Amino acid sequence: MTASIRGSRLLAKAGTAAVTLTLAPTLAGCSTSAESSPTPSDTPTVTPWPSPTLAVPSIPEARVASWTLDVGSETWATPLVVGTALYLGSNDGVFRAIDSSSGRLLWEHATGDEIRGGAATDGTAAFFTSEDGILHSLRLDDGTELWTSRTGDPTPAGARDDWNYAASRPAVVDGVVYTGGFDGTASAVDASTGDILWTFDTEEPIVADIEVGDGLVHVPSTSGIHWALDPATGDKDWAAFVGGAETTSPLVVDGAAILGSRAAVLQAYDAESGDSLWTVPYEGSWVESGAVVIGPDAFVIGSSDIRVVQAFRISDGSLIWSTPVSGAPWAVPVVADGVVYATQISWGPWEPWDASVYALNSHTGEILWSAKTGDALDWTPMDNGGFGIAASPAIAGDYVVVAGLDGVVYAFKR
Amino acid sequence: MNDIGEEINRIAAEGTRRFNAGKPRVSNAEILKDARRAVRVRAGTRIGVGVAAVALLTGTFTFALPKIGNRDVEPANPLPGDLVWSADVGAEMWGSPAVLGDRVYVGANDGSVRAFDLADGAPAWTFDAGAAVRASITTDGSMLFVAADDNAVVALRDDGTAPSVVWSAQLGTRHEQRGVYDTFGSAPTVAGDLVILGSADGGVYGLDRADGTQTWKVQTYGVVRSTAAVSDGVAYIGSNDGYLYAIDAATGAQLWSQSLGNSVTPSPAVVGDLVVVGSRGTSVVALDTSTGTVAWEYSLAPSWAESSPVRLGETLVFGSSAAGTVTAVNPETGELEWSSYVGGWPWSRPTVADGTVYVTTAFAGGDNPEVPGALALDGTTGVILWSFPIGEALRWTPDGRANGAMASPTVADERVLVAGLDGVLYCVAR
Repeated sequence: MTASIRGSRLLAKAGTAAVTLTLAPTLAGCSTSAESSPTPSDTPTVTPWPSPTLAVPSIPEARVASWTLDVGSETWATPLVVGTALYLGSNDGVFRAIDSSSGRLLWEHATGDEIRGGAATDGTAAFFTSEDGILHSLRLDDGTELWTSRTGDPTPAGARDDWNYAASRPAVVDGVVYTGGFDGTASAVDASTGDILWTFDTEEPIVADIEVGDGLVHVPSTSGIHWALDPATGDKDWAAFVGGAETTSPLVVDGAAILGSRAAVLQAYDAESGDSLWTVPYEGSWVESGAVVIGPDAFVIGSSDIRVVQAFRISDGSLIWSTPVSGAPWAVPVVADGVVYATQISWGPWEPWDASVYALNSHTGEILWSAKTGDALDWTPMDNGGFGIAASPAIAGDYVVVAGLDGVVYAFKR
Repeated sequence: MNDIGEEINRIAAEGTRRFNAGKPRVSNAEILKDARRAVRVRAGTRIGVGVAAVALLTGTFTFALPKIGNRDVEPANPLPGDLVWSADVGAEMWGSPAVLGDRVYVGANDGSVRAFDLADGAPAWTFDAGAAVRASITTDGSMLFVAADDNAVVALRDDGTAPSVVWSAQLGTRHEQRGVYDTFGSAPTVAGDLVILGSADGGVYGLDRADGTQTWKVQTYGVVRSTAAVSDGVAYIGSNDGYLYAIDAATGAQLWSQSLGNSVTPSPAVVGDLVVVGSRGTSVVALDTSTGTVAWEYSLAPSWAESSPVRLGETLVFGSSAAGTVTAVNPETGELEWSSYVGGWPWSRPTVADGTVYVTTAFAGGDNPEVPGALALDGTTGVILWSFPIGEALRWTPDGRANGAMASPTVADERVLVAGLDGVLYCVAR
C-alpha cells in the first residue's frame, strides 16, 4: 500500500462526514513535496472503538467566572501562565500581561498585526508570532521588547478562511526558539538575540503548535506531512504522511508521537523512527485537538464533529473513556490534579450554545462542571454564527483561565 | 451521608458546643485527672466536673476534650499538653520539624530553615533555602534534607553555629503556582544510598544520598506532593494525577501504577502485603504491594481522605479532612476499630509513640469553630487525652481565616513538637 492510496482512502472517508467542513490543502501539498516525502509505512493497526453518542450531556453545574477581563478583541491564542501572571495575544495585535488572581492588566504591548498564536517562554521572555511574519520577544516582567525577528512572510489578506484561524505557538528549548509560520517556514531562532539559526520550508501553512520531544523538533503542517527535524541543523530526521492537514499540536510521550489531523484518524508514530504504531478512526471527524497525558499510559484528546472528549491508551490507542460534549472540543485539553479542562467552539447547526468549558474527571470522563462564555466577535463560519473558545485553557493556581472568541478572558475556580 | 457520618457529625456538633461553652480555666491537675478517668471509662459515659473537660463515649465513637494545654505560662514541671517552650518563626509552617541530636529543625514559608535547641527552644541558626519550604525536613542521622518550592533539594550538615551545604539538586524547572488547597510538599525519604522524593514537575526522583546525583527519575502526570514510603526495596508514592506508583527504589523501574480516581496528595504506609493510602477521592484504600490490586477501601465520604495512615500496634490510624475525624482500622481488613472527632481538617499524618496518637488539625474557615490545633489521643480507644491551642494562620485563608496546624507532630523523648500555621514552633509536654 502506498502512502497516497492510504491517504486517498482516509480522505474519502473524511469526505463522508455529515457536516460539511472544508478540508485544507492535502494531496496537492503532498505531491509537490515528493522529493522529500517519507517512505510509506506499513499498514497501520486500526483499533475499533465504540461509536460515541451525540447526546448532549446533562450538565451538573454551570460555573460562574471569578473574574473576567474584556480585552475587546477575538482571541485564538492560548494563555501562557508564568508565576502569578498570564500572557496573551489577541486579534487586535496587542499582547497583554494579566494578573491571574484578579484579572488586572499588568502591561500591554502593541504589535503590528494580529496575534493568533500562543506564547512560549524560557522563564524570562515571552515568544510569539504575529500575522506579519514577525517573531517577538518581550520581557515577562515589564513587557520590554527585547528583539523582533522576521521569520516568515506576512499572511496574505484573505488567506485565512473560516476553518483556518489559528497560528502556531513556538517552543523554546535550551536557548533556541522553534517557530512556524503561515508561509510554511519553520525556523530556529536564538532566544537571546533573535538571530535565525536555520529555516525549513514545509511548503504549506503551519498553523499548529511546534513541539520538541525526544530530541526532535516536531513541525505539524497543513500539507499532510508531519516533519521531525534535527534541532541543531533543521535537517529532516523523519517525516510521515498523516493523510490530512495537521492543525493541532503533536504530543511526544513514551517514545511515541501522537498526531491529530484532518485525516479523521488519530495516529501514533514511533518518535525515533517515524514508523506507524497505531491508528484510531475518528468516525469521519477531524482530529482537530491534540493529546495531553493524564496518567500512566493514558492521554486525553478532543475532536471536532463527533463532539467528544476521550481518553486513550498511549501504548495501543485503545479507548479508556469517551464523554460527549455539546460542541467541538478543538483545543488541546489541559489536566491538573486529576481533572481535565476542555474548551469547545460551536456554530449555527449546534445551537443552543450551552457551554464552552468543561471540567471532567480524568479517570472516568465524568463531567464535573461546565461554564459558558460568549459569542465570537468576528468568526462566523459559513456565515452561521460562531461561539465559544478555540484556545486551550491554562491553569493558574486556583483558577482555570480561558480566552474566549468573545474577546473576554475568564477565570473559573477549579 | 451514611449512618456513621451522621453519628460523627451529631457527636461533633455536641462536642463542639460544649467545648466552646466551657472555656474557663481550671487547674491542669484537675483536667488531667479527668483525662485519665476518661481513658478508663468505656461506652456511654460522660465525664465532667463543671469544667471544659467533656468526654462522650458512644460505642466506638468518642468525643472528648479533657484538657486544654496551658500555653500561657511555661511551667517548670509541665503536665501532658502543657507548653514547654515556643519559638517564633514568623512564617507559616506546613512541614514537620526534624530532630537530630539536641536540636530541632523546621522549614517555613518564608524560605527559612531554622535550628533550635531542643531543650529550651533557643535559636541556633537560620538558613535561607531560597523558596518556601513546605515539605517536612528529614534526616538520615547526619544530614538534613530540605525540599523547597523552587523544586530544589538541599542536603545540609549542622556545623554547630551554622549549617553547611553538602549538596543541592534541581528537580525540574516547572514552578507551580500553588492553589489554596495545594499546601504540602513531598519530603525526601531516605532509602539506603538514595534519597527519594517527588517534585512539582511531576517527577519522582532517586538521588544519591552522598552527593545528590540523580540516579533515576519516574515521570508522573501531576504535581507530586506525596512523600514516598519505602519497603522491601519498593518506593510507593502518590501523584496529583490520581495514581499511586510502585517504583523499584534502586533502579527507578516502574512496577505498577493504580488509579485512585483523584489526587493522591497524602503519603502511603506499608503494612505487610498491603500499601495503604488516602486521596482526594473519599476513601482510604489498601492495595496489594505486588500488583496494586485493591484489597479494601474505607470510606470517609463525603470528606477527602487527605491524611496519611500510620501503623499503631494492630491498627492503622489516619486523619481525614472535612469529616474532622481520626480513625483506626484493622490494617488487614479495613474494619473500624475506633473513630474520634477532633474537629477541623486533620490532614497530617498522625504520629504515634508509646501507644498515644498525636495529631494536628486546622480550623476550616466559614462558620466552623476554632480548633485546638494539636491533640493527643489514646491509641486503643481514640479518647482525647489533651489538646493544645494554636493561633490564627498568618496567611492561609481557605475561607476567611484559619487556625491550627497542618504539619505532623514530631515526638522527641517526652516532648512533642508542633509547627503551627501561626508561625510558632511549639514544644509541648507529652
